[in-house]
Amino acid sequence: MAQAVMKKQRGQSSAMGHYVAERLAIAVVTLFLILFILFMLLSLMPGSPFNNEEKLSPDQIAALRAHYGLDKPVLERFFLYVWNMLHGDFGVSYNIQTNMPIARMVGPRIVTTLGIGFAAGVVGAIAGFLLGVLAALKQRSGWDTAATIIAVLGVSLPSFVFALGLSYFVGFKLGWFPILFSASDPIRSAVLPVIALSMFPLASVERYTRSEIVSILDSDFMLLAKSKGLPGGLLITHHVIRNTLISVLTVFVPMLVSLMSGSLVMEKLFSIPGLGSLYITAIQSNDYNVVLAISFIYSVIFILSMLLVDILYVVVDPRIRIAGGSD
Amino acid sequence: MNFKFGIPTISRKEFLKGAGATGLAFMAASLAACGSSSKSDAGSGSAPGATSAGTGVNIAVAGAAIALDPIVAGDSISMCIISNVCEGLFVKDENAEIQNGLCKEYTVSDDQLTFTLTLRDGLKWSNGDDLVADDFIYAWQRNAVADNGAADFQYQIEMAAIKNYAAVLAGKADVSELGISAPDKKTIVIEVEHPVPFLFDILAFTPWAPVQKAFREEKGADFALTKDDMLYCGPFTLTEYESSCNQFTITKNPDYWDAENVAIPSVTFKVITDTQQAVMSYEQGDVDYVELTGDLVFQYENDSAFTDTPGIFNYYLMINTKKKGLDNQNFRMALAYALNRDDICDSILKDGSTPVNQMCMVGLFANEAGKDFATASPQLYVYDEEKAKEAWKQAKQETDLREITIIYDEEKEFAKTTCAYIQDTVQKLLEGLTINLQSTPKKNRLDLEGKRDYEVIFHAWGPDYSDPTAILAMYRSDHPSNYSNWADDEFDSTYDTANTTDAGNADARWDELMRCNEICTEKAVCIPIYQTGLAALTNASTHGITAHITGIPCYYKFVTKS
Repeated sequence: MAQAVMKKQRGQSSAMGHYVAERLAIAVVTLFLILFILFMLLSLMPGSPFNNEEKLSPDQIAALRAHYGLDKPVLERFFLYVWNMLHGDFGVSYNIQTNMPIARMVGPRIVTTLGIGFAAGVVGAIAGFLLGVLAALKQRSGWDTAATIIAVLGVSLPSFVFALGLSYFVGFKLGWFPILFSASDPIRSAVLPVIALSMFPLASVERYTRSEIVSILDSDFMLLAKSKGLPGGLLITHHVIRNTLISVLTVFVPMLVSLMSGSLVMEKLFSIPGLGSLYITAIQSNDYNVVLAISFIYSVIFILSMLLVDILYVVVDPRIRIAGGSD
Repeated sequence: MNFKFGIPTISRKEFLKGAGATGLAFMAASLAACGSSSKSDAGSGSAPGATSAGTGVNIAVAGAAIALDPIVAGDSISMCIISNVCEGLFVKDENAEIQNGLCKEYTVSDDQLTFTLTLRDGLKWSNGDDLVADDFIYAWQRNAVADNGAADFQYQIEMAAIKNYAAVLAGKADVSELGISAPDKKTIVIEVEHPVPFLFDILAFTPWAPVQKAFREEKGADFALTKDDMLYCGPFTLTEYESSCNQFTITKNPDYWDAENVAIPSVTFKVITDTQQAVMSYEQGDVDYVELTGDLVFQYENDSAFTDTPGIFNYYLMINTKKKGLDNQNFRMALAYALNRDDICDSILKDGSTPVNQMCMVGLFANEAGKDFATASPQLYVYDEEKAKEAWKQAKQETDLREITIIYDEEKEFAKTTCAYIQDTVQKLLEGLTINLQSTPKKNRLDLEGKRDYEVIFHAWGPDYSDPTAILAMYRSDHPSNYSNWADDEFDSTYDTANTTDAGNADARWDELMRCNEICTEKAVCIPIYQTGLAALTNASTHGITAHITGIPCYYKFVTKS
């Protein structure tokens, strides 16, 4: 009997490992395809990637193209790019920071963008979750109304409205926090952008949490638990909140990933040297290598997070099973 | 961790604890990490307290520096940083007058074709090496051969008309044949093909800064990528520069030849991408100088700290004169008369821009008597509804063209509103004319104008040096930037005479260039609309911050702070 269980366990384990390996393999192929399609599209973009293009003669532009290897056939360039990339060389920036290796240029920005996005996501989720619990448990009270108003505002108002308001009142008038991001004071100067960015996840998580809890409170198993005489506190923490968390996770992770890809508006308003604004500038100015590198990073983050969510489901909710691993 | 059915399971409590702790640690680590690099950088090089308000000067800039290599940097912030840390032979003072930089004295031959310049005594690079004449020759030669692919400023050698420039730039002659030499460690000899009255103005520009050959070669591909990959010889050295940070600091160089006259300990450039935020920083006292845009100009125009000077760019309707219908002068004249430039500046832009009715910008060039070239030029096609209708009537008899498309850069909000205004008013005035607007990314617009595949473009042009040729050159028939596709024999011959035979005769040259300006304005090759304004707020304690129309906006050695 014990042997049979262990065998089954090993079978499950290898199914999980197999599943993850398969997903990773698909991820690599997907990334390759994304890069390929993007590379081809970028090669169709009009204009050159060089600054001062208006004052360059056609010969000079041709010489520049040759210098950066842009005169080679597009397929050759693509495979060369992938080959170099596998060796950690993402090329250099053509015009945003001319000749700067991409890794040195993008690396520190990833850290800033991920940090601020992650902080905003976590702050928004925790605050939203607490508000949602409060609103659901005190239905139709003043708390509920207040939470609903916050949720409606958070979802319907664009984040730059909060950013402007915070920047003007809290930063400028009250002077509590810096109105601009500063690398020498990253924690304090990130407070306002983090709060402004967290409003949307806060509102979404709050609305979701509230409706989930309300429906759980009405469910049969709650009736059963109550009739068994479980104390109120235990009911909430053990049955309501843990069931809600699973659903909240479903909406929260994609939101977190999108927050971590950087917000153009926040970066402009708070002068944050992040990925979002760099990405847009790179697209507008044909800085191909920067566009490719950031797209690649975004794709990796999205693909990995999807995989992570699937694995987390299994970890958090024992009812969910990976295909091939069911009893 | 437990295992259930072979799958690692953790309790929800464990999971939440773990996730929470990991998240918080990640958050703190990442935010701290993005600060640590610049902190250490700022600390390593700058003088104590150098960047704090009250001592150094803080400048709000709208974008980060693009490059630190003198022949690569094309944006005003990069060039400003480079020219303040790597001084050239000449600089411009707060009155835009050329002053000697590293050049101590010079002589000019009688035929104005040979310039002999002597360097100051005891010049040093920041690594302690002597700065010698060969450092200039090497820097200029690497521009001529487009070292590291940088061809952006080769045209400067052409503008300076250095002997043999054409053959060298075309790769038909060795760079050693370029008319520059260093007979000894302190002497530079420049030979030019014809007199160049604005040569020293050009020599004050960033691409003419010295570069030490040994250092350049030692650094290889890393040259000028970071503050440690550069050598300094200017009034300041770069002490805080991280490609991904939003702050750059230059600090007073104690080894600079004129260090005793450098009044401020440091200049910090703060990249503030949103002008409203920059103004709030100014109000908070965090920055001493901020340039205003859009409505903010209007809002602050009565403030005592407000200054408004002519800006760098002229905006035009650039016309492809080879397109059928647009080759008709009456058609172009009708458009030129139909533009209500006052209304565009006062009602649409409201940012200190001023109407222009000829090609050059006010403040670009003045003769020895102080007469401004643009102001003295004939002002043609001032808004006149009757004349516009008259020209349009003529044009309708001479061409079938009834519909044109104006292209503008989608990145510029003001371009959209200005073009919409032009579309609305001109269509109403010139009956039967349809104007379409097409917004496009700047790179696409550049591609279209490069291929001469357009009808009309809402276009800006700014000069690189203080001379009318910095603008008028693009109307010469064989100029690479002749995007109007225009050819006029009188213009070409007058322009050439002004720059060859009469290049040494200031009065004749003035008249000839004035005639050139008149010809292309009169023929409505391009239709000038307005010159941008440069509105700024400067802290009352700070003096001498300039925004020169050409070359480097400001040499901070002339700035003081009380």
